[in-house]
Amino acid sequence: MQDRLAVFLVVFVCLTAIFSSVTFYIMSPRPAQPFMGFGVFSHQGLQGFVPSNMTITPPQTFDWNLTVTNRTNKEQFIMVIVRIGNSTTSSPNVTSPAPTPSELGKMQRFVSDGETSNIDFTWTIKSTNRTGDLVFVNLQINGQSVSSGPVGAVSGSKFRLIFELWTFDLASGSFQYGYPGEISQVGTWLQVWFTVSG
Amino acid sequence: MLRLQFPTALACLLITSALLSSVTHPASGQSTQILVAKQDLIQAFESIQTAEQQGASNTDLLPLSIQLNTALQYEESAEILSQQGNASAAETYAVQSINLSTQVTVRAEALGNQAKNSSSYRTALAYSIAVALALLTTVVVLEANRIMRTARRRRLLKSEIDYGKREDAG
Repeated sequence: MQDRLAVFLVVFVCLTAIFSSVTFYIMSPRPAQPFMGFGVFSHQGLQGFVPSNMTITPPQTFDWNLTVTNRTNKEQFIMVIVRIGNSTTSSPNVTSPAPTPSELGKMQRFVSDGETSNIDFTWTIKSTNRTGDLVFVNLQINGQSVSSGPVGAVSGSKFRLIFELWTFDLASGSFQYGYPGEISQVGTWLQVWFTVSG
Repeated sequence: MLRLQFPTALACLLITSALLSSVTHPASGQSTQILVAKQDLIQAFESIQTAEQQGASNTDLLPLSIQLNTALQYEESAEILSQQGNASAAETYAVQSINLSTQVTVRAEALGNQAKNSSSYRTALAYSIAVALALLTTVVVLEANRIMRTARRRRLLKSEIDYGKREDAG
Protein backbone atom coordinates (compact mmCIF):
# COMPACT_ATOMS: atom_id res chain seq x y z
CA MET A 1 0.00 0.00 0.00
CA GLN A 2 2.85 2.38 0.95
CA ASP A 3 4.64 1.53 -2.29
CA ARG A 4 1.55 2.38 -4.30
CA LEU A 5 1.23 5.74 -2.51
CA ALA A 6 4.90 6.54 -3.11
CA VAL A 7 4.59 5.70 -6.82
CA PHE A 8 1.42 7.77 -7.01
CA LEU A 9 3.15 10.79 -5.40
CA VAL A 10 6.23 10.56 -7.62
CA VAL A 11 4.16 10.34 -10.82
CA PHE A 12 1.84 13.12 -9.64
CA VAL A 13 4.73 15.48 -8.77
CA CYS A 14 6.43 14.80 -12.12
CA LEU A 15 3.26 15.36 -14.11
CA THR A 16 2.44 18.51 -12.12
CA ALA A 17 5.89 19.88 -12.97
CA ILE A 18 5.38 19.08 -16.67
CA PHE A 19 1.87 20.57 -16.88
CA SER A 20 2.90 23.67 -14.87
CA SER A 21 5.86 24.25 -17.20
CA VAL A 22 3.58 24.03 -20.23
CA THR A 23 1.17 26.49 -18.56
CA PHE A 24 4.02 28.88 -17.78
CA TYR A 25 5.23 28.71 -21.39
CA ILE A 26 1.74 29.36 -22.77
CA MET A 27 1.10 32.26 -20.40
CA SER A 28 4.48 33.98 -20.79
CA PRO A 29 4.62 36.90 -23.22
CA ARG A 30 6.56 36.17 -26.38
CA PRO A 31 10.05 37.74 -26.39
CA ALA A 32 10.31 40.67 -28.78
CA GLN A 33 13.07 43.17 -29.46
CA PRO A 34 11.81 46.69 -28.72
CA PHE A 35 12.22 49.22 -31.51
CA MET A 36 10.85 52.46 -32.84
CA GLY A 37 10.54 53.27 -36.53
CA PHE A 38 10.95 56.80 -37.78
CA GLY A 39 10.23 58.11 -41.29
CA VAL A 40 9.72 61.27 -43.30
CA PHE A 41 7.15 61.10 -46.08
CA SER A 42 5.56 63.53 -48.47
CA HIS A 43 1.87 63.47 -49.31
CA GLN A 44 2.71 62.99 -52.99
CA GLY A 45 5.56 61.31 -54.79
CA LEU A 46 6.67 57.76 -55.30
CA GLN A 47 5.38 55.73 -52.36
CA GLY A 48 5.34 58.90 -50.32
CA PHE A 49 9.10 59.06 -49.88
CA VAL A 50 10.70 62.47 -49.62
CA PRO A 51 13.28 62.97 -52.38
CA SER A 52 16.72 63.86 -51.11
CA ASN A 53 18.89 66.52 -52.76
CA MET A 54 16.01 68.85 -53.63
CA THR A 55 16.57 72.25 -55.16
CA ILE A 56 14.25 74.82 -53.68
CA THR A 57 13.40 78.22 -55.08
CA PRO A 58 11.90 80.41 -52.32
CA PRO A 59 9.12 80.83 -51.45
CA GLN A 60 8.23 77.15 -51.57
CA THR A 61 6.10 75.11 -49.15
CA PHE A 62 6.34 71.40 -48.39
CA ASP A 63 3.69 69.36 -46.66
CA TRP A 64 5.34 66.32 -45.09
CA ASN A 65 4.45 63.63 -42.60
CA LEU A 66 6.75 62.40 -39.88
CA THR A 67 5.77 58.87 -38.95
CA VAL A 68 6.77 57.29 -35.65
CA THR A 69 6.09 53.60 -35.06
CA ASN A 70 6.19 52.31 -31.50
CA ARG A 71 7.05 48.64 -30.90
CA THR A 72 8.58 48.99 -27.45
CA ASN A 73 5.76 47.15 -25.63
CA LYS A 74 4.81 50.33 -23.80
CA GLU A 75 3.31 53.76 -24.39
CA GLN A 76 5.88 56.37 -25.40
CA PHE A 77 5.90 60.15 -25.07
CA ILE A 78 8.00 61.21 -28.03
CA MET A 79 9.53 64.47 -29.18
CA VAL A 80 10.89 65.14 -32.65
CA ILE A 81 13.52 67.87 -32.74
CA VAL A 82 14.08 69.53 -36.11
CA ARG A 83 17.50 71.02 -36.77
CA ILE A 84 19.15 72.61 -39.75
CA GLY A 85 22.66 71.80 -40.82
CA ASN A 86 25.07 72.18 -43.71
CA SER A 87 27.72 69.87 -45.10
CA THR A 88 30.16 70.70 -42.31
CA THR A 89 27.92 70.55 -39.22
CA SER A 90 28.33 67.38 -37.21
CA SER A 91 25.56 64.81 -37.55
CA PRO A 92 23.80 63.02 -34.72
CA ASN A 93 24.75 59.39 -34.18
CA VAL A 94 23.46 56.34 -32.32
CA THR A 95 24.47 57.75 -28.94
CA SER A 96 24.40 61.55 -29.16
CA PRO A 97 22.27 64.20 -30.81
CA ALA A 98 23.47 67.02 -33.04
CA PRO A 99 24.74 70.27 -31.44
CA THR A 100 21.94 72.42 -30.01
CA PRO A 101 22.34 75.84 -31.71
CA SER A 102 20.85 74.50 -34.93
CA GLU A 103 17.42 73.69 -33.43
CA LEU A 104 14.45 74.96 -35.44
CA GLY A 105 11.52 73.45 -33.58
CA LYS A 106 10.10 70.46 -31.79
CA MET A 107 6.92 68.39 -31.87
CA GLN A 108 5.59 66.17 -29.11
CA ARG A 109 3.17 63.25 -29.25
CA PHE A 110 2.01 60.25 -27.23
CA VAL A 111 2.31 57.01 -29.21
CA SER A 112 0.67 53.78 -28.03
CA ASP A 113 2.45 50.46 -28.30
CA GLY A 114 1.90 48.92 -31.72
CA GLU A 115 0.72 52.21 -33.22
CA THR A 116 2.11 54.46 -35.93
CA SER A 117 1.66 58.16 -35.35
CA ASN A 118 1.63 60.67 -38.20
CA ILE A 119 2.87 64.14 -37.34
CA ASP A 120 2.21 66.93 -39.82
CA PHE A 121 5.31 68.83 -40.80
CA THR A 122 4.62 71.81 -43.03
CA TRP A 123 7.60 73.95 -43.83
CA THR A 124 8.30 76.84 -46.13
CA ILE A 125 11.53 78.43 -47.25
CA LYS A 126 10.36 82.02 -47.35
CA SER A 127 13.52 83.86 -48.31
CA THR A 128 17.28 83.91 -48.09
CA ASN A 129 19.70 86.52 -46.84
CA ARG A 130 23.34 86.71 -47.67
CA THR A 131 26.03 87.73 -45.21
CA GLY A 132 29.41 87.75 -46.90
CA ASP A 133 29.88 84.38 -48.59
CA LEU A 134 27.26 82.67 -46.47
CA VAL A 135 23.59 82.27 -47.30
CA PHE A 136 21.05 81.96 -44.47
CA VAL A 137 17.46 80.86 -44.97
CA ASN A 138 14.29 82.15 -43.36
CA LEU A 139 11.81 79.39 -42.78
CA GLN A 140 8.34 78.82 -41.44
CA ILE A 141 7.78 75.53 -39.64
CA ASN A 142 4.21 74.58 -38.72
CA GLY A 143 3.26 78.25 -38.76
CA GLN A 144 6.22 79.54 -36.75
CA SER A 145 8.89 81.70 -38.34
CA VAL A 146 12.51 80.71 -37.71
CA SER A 147 15.89 81.46 -39.20
CA SER A 148 18.65 79.03 -40.08
CA GLY A 149 21.16 81.28 -38.26
CA PRO A 150 23.82 80.62 -37.08
CA VAL A 151 23.89 77.85 -39.68
CA GLY A 152 24.57 79.11 -43.17
CA ALA A 153 25.96 77.65 -46.37
CA VAL A 154 28.16 78.95 -49.14
CA SER A 155 26.04 79.92 -52.13
CA GLY A 156 25.08 76.80 -54.07
CA SER A 157 26.02 74.50 -51.19
CA LYS A 158 23.64 72.20 -49.48
CA PHE A 159 21.57 72.57 -46.35
CA ARG A 160 19.96 69.66 -44.59
CA LEU A 161 17.02 69.22 -42.27
CA ILE A 162 17.83 66.85 -39.42
CA PHE A 163 15.06 65.08 -37.51
CA GLU A 164 15.90 63.50 -34.16
CA LEU A 165 13.64 61.19 -32.19
CA TRP A 166 13.60 61.70 -28.40
CA THR A 167 11.55 59.80 -25.82
CA PHE A 168 10.45 60.80 -22.34
CA ASP A 169 12.18 58.94 -19.52
CA LEU A 170 10.06 58.78 -16.36
CA ALA A 171 13.04 57.96 -14.14
CA SER A 172 14.91 61.16 -15.00
CA GLY A 173 11.76 63.21 -15.73
CA SER A 174 13.18 64.50 -19.02
CA PHE A 175 13.38 63.66 -22.70
CA GLN A 176 16.29 61.45 -23.72
CA TYR A 177 17.75 61.15 -27.21
CA GLY A 178 16.59 57.98 -28.98
CA TYR A 179 14.32 55.28 -27.65
CA PRO A 180 14.82 52.74 -24.84
CA GLY A 181 16.48 49.66 -26.32
CA GLU A 182 17.25 46.36 -24.62
CA ILE A 183 20.44 47.65 -23.00
CA SER A 184 20.56 51.42 -23.53
CA GLN A 185 18.99 54.29 -25.49
CA VAL A 186 19.14 53.83 -29.25
CA GLY A 187 19.61 57.10 -31.12
CA THR A 188 17.44 57.53 -34.22
CA TRP A 189 17.66 60.36 -36.72
CA LEU A 190 16.95 61.26 -40.33
CA GLN A 191 18.12 63.94 -42.70
CA VAL A 192 16.97 65.48 -45.97
CA TRP A 193 19.41 67.48 -48.08
CA PHE A 194 18.37 70.51 -50.11
CA THR A 195 19.92 73.35 -52.07
CA VAL A 196 18.44 76.83 -52.13
CA SER A 197 18.59 78.58 -55.47
CA GLY A 198 17.98 82.20 -56.33
CA MET B 1 20.16 93.28 21.27
CA LEU B 2 20.63 90.25 18.99
CA ARG B 3 17.37 88.75 20.25
CA LEU B 4 15.50 91.83 19.06
CA GLN B 5 17.31 92.04 15.68
CA PHE B 6 16.61 88.49 14.60
CA PRO B 7 12.76 88.67 14.76
CA THR B 8 12.87 92.06 13.05
CA ALA B 9 15.01 90.70 10.25
CA LEU B 10 12.75 87.70 9.93
CA ALA B 11 9.67 89.91 9.77
CA CYS B 12 11.32 92.10 7.11
CA LEU B 13 12.18 89.02 5.08
CA LEU B 14 8.61 87.70 5.28
CA ILE B 15 7.09 91.06 4.31
CA THR B 16 9.50 91.41 1.38
CA SER B 17 8.75 87.90 0.10
CA ALA B 18 4.99 88.51 0.48
CA LEU B 19 5.27 91.77 -1.45
CA LEU B 20 7.34 90.15 -4.18
CA SER B 21 4.90 87.27 -4.54
CA SER B 22 1.92 89.66 -4.73
CA VAL B 23 3.67 91.71 -7.44
CA THR B 24 4.47 88.65 -9.54
CA HIS B 25 1.15 86.91 -8.80
CA PRO B 26 -0.71 87.42 -12.15
CA ALA B 27 2.08 86.01 -14.29
CA SER B 28 3.08 83.24 -11.93
CA GLY B 29 -0.55 82.17 -11.36
CA GLN B 30 -1.11 81.72 -15.05
CA SER B 31 2.12 79.83 -15.62
CA THR B 32 1.29 77.66 -12.61
CA GLN B 33 -1.76 76.29 -14.47
CA ILE B 34 0.46 75.42 -17.44
CA LEU B 35 2.98 73.80 -15.13
CA VAL B 36 0.19 71.78 -13.51
CA ALA B 37 -1.05 70.79 -16.98
CA LYS B 38 2.45 69.57 -17.87
CA GLN B 39 2.77 67.59 -14.63
CA ASP B 40 -0.68 66.06 -15.12
CA LEU B 41 0.25 64.99 -18.65
CA ILE B 42 3.30 63.17 -17.30
CA GLN B 43 1.23 61.62 -14.50
CA ALA B 44 -1.37 60.39 -17.00
CA PHE B 45 1.42 59.00 -19.19
CA GLU B 46 2.89 57.19 -16.18
CA SER B 47 -0.50 55.73 -15.25
CA ILE B 48 -0.94 54.39 -18.81
CA GLN B 49 2.48 52.71 -18.61
CA THR B 50 1.57 51.23 -15.22
CA ALA B 51 -1.74 49.95 -16.63
CA GLU B 52 0.21 48.30 -19.48
CA GLN B 53 2.50 46.59 -16.97
CA GLN B 54 -0.55 45.38 -15.07
CA GLY B 55 -1.80 43.73 -18.25
CA ALA B 56 -4.32 46.21 -19.69
CA SER B 57 -4.78 45.63 -23.41
CA ASN B 58 -3.67 48.04 -26.14
CA THR B 59 -7.24 48.19 -27.45
CA ASP B 60 -8.44 49.52 -24.09
CA LEU B 61 -5.57 51.96 -23.74
CA LEU B 62 -5.62 53.39 -27.28
CA PRO B 63 -8.57 55.77 -26.61
CA LEU B 64 -6.70 57.07 -23.55
CA SER B 65 -3.63 57.78 -25.66
CA ILE B 66 -5.79 59.70 -28.16
CA GLN B 67 -7.32 61.66 -25.27
CA LEU B 68 -3.86 62.38 -23.90
CA ASN B 69 -2.76 63.77 -27.27
CA THR B 70 -5.74 66.14 -27.17
CA ALA B 71 -4.68 67.21 -23.66
CA LEU B 72 -1.16 67.78 -25.01
CA GLN B 73 -2.55 69.97 -27.83
CA TYR B 74 -4.47 72.04 -25.27
CA GLU B 75 -1.34 72.44 -23.17
CA GLU B 76 0.69 73.52 -26.23
CA SER B 77 -2.03 76.01 -27.19
CA ALA B 78 -2.00 77.36 -23.62
CA GLU B 79 1.74 77.83 -23.82
CA ILE B 80 1.55 79.68 -27.16
CA LEU B 81 -1.28 81.91 -25.91
CA SER B 82 0.65 82.61 -22.71
CA GLN B 83 3.68 83.69 -24.77
CA GLN B 84 1.40 85.96 -26.81
CA GLY B 85 0.15 87.55 -23.56
CA ASN B 86 -3.39 86.15 -23.71
CA ALA B 87 -3.50 84.96 -20.11
CA SER B 88 -7.20 84.14 -19.77
CA ALA B 89 -7.37 82.03 -22.94
CA ALA B 90 -4.14 80.31 -21.91
CA GLU B 91 -5.66 79.46 -18.55
CA THR B 92 -8.82 78.08 -20.20
CA TYR B 93 -6.75 75.76 -22.39
CA ALA B 94 -4.54 74.75 -19.46
CA VAL B 95 -7.60 73.85 -17.36
CA GLN B 96 -9.05 71.81 -20.25
CA SER B 97 -5.74 69.98 -20.52
CA ILE B 98 -5.69 69.32 -16.76
CA ASN B 99 -9.27 67.96 -16.85
CA LEU B 100 -8.51 65.61 -19.73
CA SER B 101 -5.25 64.39 -18.18
CA THR B 102 -7.02 63.72 -14.88
CA GLN B 103 -9.73 61.74 -16.67
CA VAL B 104 -7.04 59.69 -18.42
CA THR B 105 -5.22 59.02 -15.13
CA VAL B 106 -8.41 57.85 -13.39
CA ARG B 107 -9.44 55.64 -16.33
CA ALA B 108 -5.93 54.16 -16.73
CA GLU B 109 -5.74 53.33 -13.04
CA ALA B 110 -9.15 51.63 -13.20
CA LEU B 111 -8.14 49.66 -16.29
CA GLY B 112 -4.85 48.69 -14.65
CA ASN B 113 -6.54 47.40 -11.49
CA GLN B 114 -9.15 45.55 -13.54
CA ALA B 115 -6.43 43.94 -15.67
CA LYS B 116 -4.37 43.04 -12.60
CA ASN B 117 -7.34 41.30 -10.94
CA SER B 118 -8.37 39.39 -14.05
CA SER B 119 -4.73 38.48 -14.71
CA SER B 120 -4.37 37.01 -11.18
CA TYR B 121 -7.63 35.10 -11.66
CA ARG B 122 -6.51 33.76 -15.06
CA THR B 123 -3.14 32.68 -13.64
CA ALA B 124 -4.76 30.92 -10.66
CA LEU B 125 -7.27 29.20 -12.96
CA ALA B 126 -4.61 28.09 -15.45
CA TYR B 127 -2.37 26.55 -12.76
CA SER B 128 -5.37 24.90 -11.05
CA ILE B 129 -6.31 23.29 -14.38
CA ALA B 130 -2.68 22.16 -14.78
CA VAL B 131 -2.68 20.49 -11.32
CA ALA B 132 -6.11 18.91 -11.93
CA LEU B 133 -4.92 17.53 -15.28
CA ALA B 134 -1.78 16.17 -13.60
CA LEU B 135 -3.93 14.41 -10.98
CA LEU B 136 -6.26 12.97 -13.61
CA THR B 137 -3.35 11.77 -15.75
CA THR B 138 -1.68 10.16 -12.72
CA VAL B 139 -4.86 8.25 -11.90
CA VAL B 140 -5.29 7.20 -15.53
CA VAL B 141 -1.64 6.06 -15.83
CA LEU B 142 -1.51 4.12 -12.54
CA GLU B 143 -4.96 2.66 -12.65
CA ALA B 144 -5.08 1.89 -16.38
CA ASN B 145 -5.13 -1.89 -15.82
CA ARG B 146 -7.92 -1.70 -13.26
CA ILE B 147 -9.94 0.66 -15.45
CA MET B 148 -9.58 -1.66 -18.43
CA ARG B 149 -10.50 -4.69 -16.36
CA THR B 150 -13.61 -2.95 -15.02
CA ALA B 151 -14.60 -1.89 -18.50
CA ARG B 152 -14.17 -5.45 -19.82
CA ARG B 153 -16.24 -6.84 -16.94
CA ARG B 154 -19.03 -4.35 -17.61
CA ARG B 155 -19.03 -5.26 -21.27
CA LEU B 156 -19.31 -8.93 -20.32
CA LEU B 157 -22.18 -8.25 -17.92
CA LYS B 158 -24.09 -6.33 -20.54
CA SER B 159 -23.74 -8.95 -23.25
CA GLU B 160 -26.48 -11.65 -23.53
CA ILE B 161 -25.58 -15.12 -22.37
CA ASP B 162 -25.97 -17.73 -25.04
CA TYR B 163 -26.64 -21.09 -23.30
CA GLY B 164 -26.90 -23.07 -26.52
CA LYS B 165 -30.18 -24.79 -25.33
CA ARG B 166 -32.60 -23.37 -27.94
CA GLU B 167 -30.92 -25.25 -30.75
CA ASP B 168 -31.01 -28.48 -28.70
CA ALA B 169 -34.74 -28.09 -27.97
CA GLY B 170 -35.48 -27.49 -31.67
